[in-house]
Amino acid sequence: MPSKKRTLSVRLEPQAERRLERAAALQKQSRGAFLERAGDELASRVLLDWAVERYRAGEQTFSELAEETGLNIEQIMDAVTERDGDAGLQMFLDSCKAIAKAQHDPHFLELAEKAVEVASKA
Amino acid sequence: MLVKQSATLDSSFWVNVQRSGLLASLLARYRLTYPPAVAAELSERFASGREFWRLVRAGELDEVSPTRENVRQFGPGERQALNVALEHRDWVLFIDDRRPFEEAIRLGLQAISSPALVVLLAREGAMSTEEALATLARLAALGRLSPRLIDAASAALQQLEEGGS
Repeated sequence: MPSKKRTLSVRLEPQAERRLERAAALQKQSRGAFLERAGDELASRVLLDWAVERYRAGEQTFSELAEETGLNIEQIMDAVTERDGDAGLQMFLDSCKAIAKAQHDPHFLELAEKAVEVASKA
Repeated sequence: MLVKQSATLDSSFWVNVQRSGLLASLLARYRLTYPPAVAAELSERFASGREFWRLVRAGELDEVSPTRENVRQFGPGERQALNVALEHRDWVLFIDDRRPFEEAIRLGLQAISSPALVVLLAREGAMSTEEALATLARLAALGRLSPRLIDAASAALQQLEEGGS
């Protein structure tokens, strides 16, 4: 089956070319394969950071972001959790504290604290 | 025997429910369908996607495609989930992203978010307040659900607990 890959040409300074040569050799890869992987990894990181910010700002949904970036939806969702998971759990606990206080229900707070402790260890 | 209600869902709801441990309760109560665009968004390279495809192969989930495209906004998964729900108004639409959720409500669909599902299951006695709070805490720890939804669910659980104690 013919490859769907496209060819791009890259111009490098001599020093950069030497670094590429050495790094690719260390990874036992051709220079082209090394650049292909490095470029894709960096592009994914840049897009992931951008997608997280867009999601946080409420500007786009996960499905829209996956379509626009070509990243997997679960990959974007995991990146949001990595950055905002702890804050989400703290907000949940603060909210339960406020509810327990307003309703004079210390047992509810005990249950919530236990739930948060377990969730934070997961 | 419990007659399962039919429902369709979007991808982010699936991931949130799978990650928070709600999936077994969901499958016990609903006959779940998915639109093809949702399936395309869930990859076996990731945990929730693997579980999705395992259940598809086991015949636990059915694919249903919309025949019309009344909703044209949002991402492909959300769009198809909304369009399927529009053609099956007696079905539940499980959806977690805020804007498509609001559109579903505007369209008069039976939209349920994952925190609301937790409250529903607790109200039905399918889980205790303790289990429901633990599930809500896991959802909150994902950091991607509106704090307002989580707060509302927490308040509802407290009311339930008060009523039951």
